[in-house]
Amino acid sequence: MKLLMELVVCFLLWSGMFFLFVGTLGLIRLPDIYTRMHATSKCDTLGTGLILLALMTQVGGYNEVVKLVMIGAFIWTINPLVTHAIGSTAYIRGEDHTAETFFKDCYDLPYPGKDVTGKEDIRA
Amino acid sequence: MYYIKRIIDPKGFLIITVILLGFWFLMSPTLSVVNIIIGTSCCLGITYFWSPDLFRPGSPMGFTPIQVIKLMGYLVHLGYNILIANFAVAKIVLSPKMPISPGFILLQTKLRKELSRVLYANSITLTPGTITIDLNGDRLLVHAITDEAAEGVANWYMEDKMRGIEVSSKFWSGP
Repeated sequence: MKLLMELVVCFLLWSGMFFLFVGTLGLIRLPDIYTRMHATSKCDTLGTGLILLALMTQVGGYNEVVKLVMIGAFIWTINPLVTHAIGSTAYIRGEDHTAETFFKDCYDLPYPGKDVTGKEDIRA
Repeated sequence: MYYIKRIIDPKGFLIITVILLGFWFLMSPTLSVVNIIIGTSCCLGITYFWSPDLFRPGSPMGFTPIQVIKLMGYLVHLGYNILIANFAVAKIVLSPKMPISPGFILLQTKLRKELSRVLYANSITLTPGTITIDLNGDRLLVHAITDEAAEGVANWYMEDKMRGIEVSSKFWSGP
């Protein structure tokens, strides 16, 4: 039983580290700021969540578990907000995007929508 | 005097004090006399200090139990989608050629309440290949990392789920 528990904790820790590693690698490899945000926002959320879950099985009393749950809840709610703040600031300031980026206006239209040319046409 | 306030809503005052006290005992689970006295006086003082801002007349923030149950189901679906999103991003980042075709899409949401719009925008950020850049009224600007992700977010089933939560409210009076 103890061995099984240790195996589960090892699995959680290593998979959390794997997702954090993938997020950092994506931050280096992907071409522009918008695609880089994809890597950091998603992988950091799941990676820290898994590591906190592994810690929750190891600490003692329930008050420590409650504190870890609070940390996890804060990270899971703050992470998309920070991503949104960075993204909208970059968009308003007109940061560069890769050459093959497409712009589609699907407001009131089914998915493929109509192609528009650039940032000025697609303000929300 | 500014710091002497009349208690407007005694029932709400007690409810918020009990909630704060429950949080206090989650954080420090010893039942000594000193702990109980400090916790109770702090909770009463905080609720008393903020009571003019806590109890405003005329804006009910009610929700029904069925909404809470539906929100739990929504969160379970959200966790599943976060897992899928991570594997998708890992696949893109770790593959040597990096098959990305990024783009911006402007969408229209069916949701009517501000809170559910914000929750839906945050769910879009956490799920496969899409990030919400901007939210203005019912116009939603989304960045997608691949073409399939863009197609997926345009008619995503989570929006109907959020709409279901919104409509089953007791205070719902819209279309």
